[in-house]
Amino acid sequence: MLGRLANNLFWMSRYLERAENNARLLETYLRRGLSEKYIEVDDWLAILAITGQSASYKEKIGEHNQTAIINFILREKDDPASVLNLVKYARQNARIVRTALTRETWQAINDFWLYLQKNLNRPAARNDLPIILAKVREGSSLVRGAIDGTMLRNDIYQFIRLGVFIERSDNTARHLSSRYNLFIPSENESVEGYPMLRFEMILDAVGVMRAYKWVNKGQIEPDRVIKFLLNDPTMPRSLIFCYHDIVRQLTALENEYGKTYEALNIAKKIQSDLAITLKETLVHNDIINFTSSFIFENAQLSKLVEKEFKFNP
Amino acid sequence: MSKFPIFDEMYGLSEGSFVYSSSEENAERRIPYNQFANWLDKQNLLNLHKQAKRAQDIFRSIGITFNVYGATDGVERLIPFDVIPRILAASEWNILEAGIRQRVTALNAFLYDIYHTQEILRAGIIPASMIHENAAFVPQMMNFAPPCNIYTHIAGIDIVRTAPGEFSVLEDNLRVPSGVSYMIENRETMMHMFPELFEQNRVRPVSHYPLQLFRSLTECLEALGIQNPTVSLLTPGVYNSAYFEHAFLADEMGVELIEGSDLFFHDDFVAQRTTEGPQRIDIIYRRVDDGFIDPLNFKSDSKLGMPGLFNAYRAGKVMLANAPGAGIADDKAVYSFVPDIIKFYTGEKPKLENIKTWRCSEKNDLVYVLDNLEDLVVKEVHGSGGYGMLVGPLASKAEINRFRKKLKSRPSSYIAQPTLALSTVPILTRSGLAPRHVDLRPFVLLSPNGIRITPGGLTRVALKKNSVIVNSSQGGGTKDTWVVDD
Repeated sequence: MLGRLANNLFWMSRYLERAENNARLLETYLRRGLSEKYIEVDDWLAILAITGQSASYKEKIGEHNQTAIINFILREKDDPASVLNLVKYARQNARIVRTALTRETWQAINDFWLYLQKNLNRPAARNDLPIILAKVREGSSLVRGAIDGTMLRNDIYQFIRLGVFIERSDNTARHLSSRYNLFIPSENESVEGYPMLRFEMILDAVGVMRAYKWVNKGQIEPDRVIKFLLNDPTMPRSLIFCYHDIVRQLTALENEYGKTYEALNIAKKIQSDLAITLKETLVHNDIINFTSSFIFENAQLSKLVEKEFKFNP
Repeated sequence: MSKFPIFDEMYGLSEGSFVYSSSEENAERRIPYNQFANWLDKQNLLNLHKQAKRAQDIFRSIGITFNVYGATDGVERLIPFDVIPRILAASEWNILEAGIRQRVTALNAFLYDIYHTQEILRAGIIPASMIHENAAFVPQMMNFAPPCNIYTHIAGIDIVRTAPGEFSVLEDNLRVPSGVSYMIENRETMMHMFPELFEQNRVRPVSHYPLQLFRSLTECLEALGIQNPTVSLLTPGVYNSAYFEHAFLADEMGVELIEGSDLFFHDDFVAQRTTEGPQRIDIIYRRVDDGFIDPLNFKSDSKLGMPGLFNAYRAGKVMLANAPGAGIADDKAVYSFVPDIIKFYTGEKPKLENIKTWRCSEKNDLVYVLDNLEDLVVKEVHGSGGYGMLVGPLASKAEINRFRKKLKSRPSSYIAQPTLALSTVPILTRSGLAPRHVDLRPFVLLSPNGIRITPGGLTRVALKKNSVIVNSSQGGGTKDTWVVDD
């Protein structure tokens, strides 16, 4: 496969995954904002930190209000991380690699983009937001389903999956790191119910609230939340699940190409570190250190994949 | 503009332009349209419009779009698709096919001759200056024989019709002819929307074109003993107006869609950069114009090709399709000599007529053209896409005068042709069916094992009333084109 195409496939799926994650985050805060009294401007700023748009927002908009932030995350034309732009870039990448995608996959991405282009052409009305955000999740699911149901399990598929899971593990880690203070007990005792709500919001934004409650019989506790997000091998958004898949895809590439890659060694190391960390050092105070270094190593792995598989000349 | 009766392919002859009325429902139809017209009588207009809208949605969803150069918004446009098919009887197609076969054979022989001993120039049939001073002539190709002596692996021959049995060639496209993806997708869309039509009519299929293209290319090298050659399709990139087609063909052929930056020399061969390392390429179906394929040999500022690609080609390390320099045979000035070219190389009379053409480079012709500008179509010799031309009968006095000046200052840059009473085929308009002018581009594949012509081709239709400009860049649309067996 052309290195340039591997690059496009990898980023196509990273952008799609990111668009879905950001939309789900917005959805959570919007819905919770209706019924909970603790959603404050600070919470909206935390969202911008997770989507990586804080600096850009401060520069372009400045003042803090909910409507402005929602529109910025969703459809800001001048910010490359807005949902609209992420889907646009995903679709541009897909258009370049059309030949590597099945018609079903291409059409799912193209239709997704056509929908957003039409419906995010102007600021979305408050009442339309739930529909549009649900549509983002749906669009993303359709693409995932088309890939799953129609694509060959070859290197094309493997680069797509690598993109998905490198992006997804980054996202899950960001949710934890942006809320690390929740896991420091002393800071949260002042308001009753406050941390509980915040933990629920993390789980909701990651899209695994129901799953968590199912597994933990409804008990929301910091340790269990961390364990679930980091180290539950059955949960498709946990870091360990993501790394199992990353290792699987890199192994498949080694077998297919008959070569060895340093990226696989690094991925295996991150995978085993995850297990050790959980056992030994998950003192609450460490969560920020741990997630920061994970985010860094994950990004390094992404760069190494780009280099070893000749994404660029 | 019609001083002559216009031939409508569905309803026969008509005086000038007209709108079909309901009384036409029982009017006489030409035979190939019989079945279709019976079906059409049973449709209601509202439903047809609904289907037409659906066709647009299908095209947009699949991404059958083109980029308009110079349009800064980067918006991808749809080529308008009309749901009324253009239908040719097998007997009509046979005439066309034989003529195209003869013409393409002669043009390929002409190219071999021009780049070798130039017998046709020695024989005084074509003035040597017309070739040697022509921008489309590539001197670097002299005395080089491409694999199997084939220059035009892919050709698109533009045909117009003026009466039931009168087909003429308007233009040859031997460089990088485009539009074949529309031919295939138009059919797909029609079959999707109106499956019953294809049960009632025996329409010859077109979907095998990509496979035939692949075979035609690989047969050239297999004839030289190279088994399973690797083919790649070279595109200028995602912003090229025909990018959809490049991706479509690469996909259908199962070959890589490459850009210049994917190519490099490896162990003295042309290779593409893959995730596994370098992979040797044997055949490049290039959709990049001659001037841009190699900055070392042609335009030095081109980023679309690969430095040294042409040297590798001449050294026989990679095959390029079409061959560089093939454009000399489809040049508008050379066009008027094609009947002589056919006679010279095949010894036969041309089976398909040319359009009468005045060469403004010749004194007598120029005088005639200047005297009759308001009746003629004048084209720039190197122009394409319907730009830089004058349609006399539709032009204002001021436009004609402006053109007259251009013509006088550079006469050899122009040719002129009579305004043709191009045939019409109905399109679906808001108020019902209405006749519009059409042309036809059949696609031809040349291989050492013979010539393959896909039945039908791409019908382009001028959507504006009375217009004869069918180019998509200027508001033309397309139709599905049927060849029906009786």
